[in-house]
Amino acid sequence: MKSRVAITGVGMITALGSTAASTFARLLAGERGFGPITLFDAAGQKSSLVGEVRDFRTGDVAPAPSPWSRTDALALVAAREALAMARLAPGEPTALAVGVTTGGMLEAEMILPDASAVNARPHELASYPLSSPTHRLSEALGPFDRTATLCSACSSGASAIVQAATWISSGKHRVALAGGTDALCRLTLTGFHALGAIDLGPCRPFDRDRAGLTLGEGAAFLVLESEESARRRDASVVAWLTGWAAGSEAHHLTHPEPGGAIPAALIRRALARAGLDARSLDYVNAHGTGTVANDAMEAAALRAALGPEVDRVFVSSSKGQLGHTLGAAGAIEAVITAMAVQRSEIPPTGGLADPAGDCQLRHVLGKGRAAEVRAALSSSFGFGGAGTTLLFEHEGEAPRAPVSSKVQVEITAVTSLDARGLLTGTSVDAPAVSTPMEPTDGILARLVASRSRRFDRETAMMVVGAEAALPSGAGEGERGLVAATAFGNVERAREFLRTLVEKGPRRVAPAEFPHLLPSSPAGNASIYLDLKGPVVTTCDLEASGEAAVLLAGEWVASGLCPLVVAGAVEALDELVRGVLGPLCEPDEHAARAEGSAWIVLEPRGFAALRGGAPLAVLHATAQLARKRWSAEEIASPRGDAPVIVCARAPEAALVELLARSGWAGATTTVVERSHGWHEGLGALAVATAAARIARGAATDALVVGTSAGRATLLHLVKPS
Amino acid sequence: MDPEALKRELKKLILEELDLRDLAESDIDDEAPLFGEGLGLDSLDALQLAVAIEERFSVQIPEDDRAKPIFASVTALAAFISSARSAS
Repeated sequence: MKSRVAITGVGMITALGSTAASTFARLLAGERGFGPITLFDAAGQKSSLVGEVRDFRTGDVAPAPSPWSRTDALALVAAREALAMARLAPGEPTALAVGVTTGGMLEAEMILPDASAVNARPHELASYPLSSPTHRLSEALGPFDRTATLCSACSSGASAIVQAATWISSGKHRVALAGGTDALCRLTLTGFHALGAIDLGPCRPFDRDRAGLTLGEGAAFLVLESEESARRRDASVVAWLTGWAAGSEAHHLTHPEPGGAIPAALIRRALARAGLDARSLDYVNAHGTGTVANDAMEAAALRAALGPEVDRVFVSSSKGQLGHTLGAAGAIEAVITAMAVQRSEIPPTGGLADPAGDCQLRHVLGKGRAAEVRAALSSSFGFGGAGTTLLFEHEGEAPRAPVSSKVQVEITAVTSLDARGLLTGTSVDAPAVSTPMEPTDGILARLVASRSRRFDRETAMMVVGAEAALPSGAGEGERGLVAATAFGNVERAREFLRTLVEKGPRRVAPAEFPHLLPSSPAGNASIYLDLKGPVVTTCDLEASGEAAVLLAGEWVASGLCPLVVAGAVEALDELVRGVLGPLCEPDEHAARAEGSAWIVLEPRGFAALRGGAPLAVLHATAQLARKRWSAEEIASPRGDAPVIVCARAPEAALVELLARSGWAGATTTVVERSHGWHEGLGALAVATAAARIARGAATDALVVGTSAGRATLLHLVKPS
Repeated sequence: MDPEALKRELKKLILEELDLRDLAESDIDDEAPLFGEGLGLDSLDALQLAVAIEERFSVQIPEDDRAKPIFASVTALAAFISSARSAS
């Protein structure tokens, strides 16, 4: 599996420029994009210094009158630039991956705490779901067959690039658009201040006097393309993405493990995937936030991973000039790294004057410098210990033969925690009940109290369900997590914002902030369950559950991670029930229910090694834009007893499509009708389908989910 | 407030604010260090506790190194709160 991925277009918008070229030029010149925030009133904040994108208004690019968020609009600017550079028309890339963390918070945060404002102006929350930038880009630049929204806190943008690289290298797609986007907002400025994580002056990564980060905003997108496609189009290649790795520390929600063992392993693995060692590496664009703990950890990780070569390899952090752009950072820094490779120029670390004793690296001070860059690495690390590394190489490298991987993916365990209690294996396919789910105290009682402090209902439901699904004693080997939640814990964010509005930024609960980000439940779960593989939160409105299983299947099939537990959790939330649900999901739904369903996916044969047997095989997966629906795209059942299992009733066009496919005549189970509705129900549909096959009631099961004009198809079959 | 009652109130606040739901007031020793060893609390807990104490007792806890001895134990915290309140 040594296929290369061509980067044929890049775009970015940052505090230093509205294009990749202008940002890069000003980075090299040593300029810093910091100033007092103008987006909102930062009264009461200890500092209002940020890396804001100046002279940019959402209305400049957003098609009126639809309420786009600033995060959505920033994404569109960068994505358009990347497509233009790659000389691709909208619709030509067939896949889109978006990393995002704050999403539509800037527009939502002043309405959320005030119930009357929510009732009066609910449409202003239209961009609140984390999947909003993905859906907006689909509308503006699509159709895309495959889309994915990924949140892994401050490594989200890099997670999106890894996802797209997985699609390209496995041959699923030939051209994909991937990146990250995030606007500044009060929530993050307040939260990072409450944690004491913000330098009151501009940040100083790796410096003796460093005292925290400076927040920024922006977006960056890259066109990822198969070598064959790029050559056929005669596209010019910015750089080759030849290595990548993703994993988690399972250590602490906000503090990195000081030794940097997992980050060091991720750096080594990205190099190994590219077939390189440290001697070929010339530059590292570090995560380099400017916090005391991150920078020392990163220096230790680089020293451990690169050995004596660390004294030769240039290192810089772009956050000293652009600020920490959270969900966008991994993508912005990937673009900068790819451009450094392309142009043989290395940007400096802004604000670094006197390198700290615990950050002894080959720093680039003041201004950029010219240097041959054969290969360069970009590192990203987020809350919860979610890390990603990306390795870019210069065009001059000889091509390596692509080897396609055909790993068969088995579903080896399923669980559901719902109104029926905690069910595992074939019992998941038991009839629904109409009683409410057990109270939070009862769910928390299943967990070790000292290790589940501050867990909310969603997080507790996630950990209980995922723990029951994971094979016991399988401590060896990496285990990844894909967790879906359509809206996150809105009530928890609302409470934090209410304190901010009513009492001011100094009175918010510091420990709440790292627990209320979209990635927080999965981060907490990875720590509780000791999951050291990739950990990502995803969402896709009504098809959120299906989205999680789809991603996990791709991870296992492509070799990104050998065991992934995937699923979805939704707890009752008044704002989701009363406002966000009806606003974002106009279709009729059954009464709201709660639930948490989990599926373990592994390569074929892994369960047998433990003496177990798989429940089902994930035979094929696909996502199709409505404009491209065709019966030929739907593979026929393999056995004589096929069933269709859907979270909600498929729309008429899809029913018609299925009737013209090999699935005509298969009985359809609609989970919503018996269990009630929530956005994660697709995970229960998959678990039910696997259980039904395992208990011999079906040979094939097709799980069909739809959201935002796209169908997700998961075809499960009986193990042979 | 008498010192013992203040200490009891502080312990209750610590248990609630830091979600130490498996512990009781009797598990917190008046003199034992709150952070590092003992209860297994970390700097994030310290930040949370500082905001909660400022809110509940209307006191101002310094943000620099002077905060460290204040959080040395429940007794030290109670002494700080008593003197800060009588000073104001």
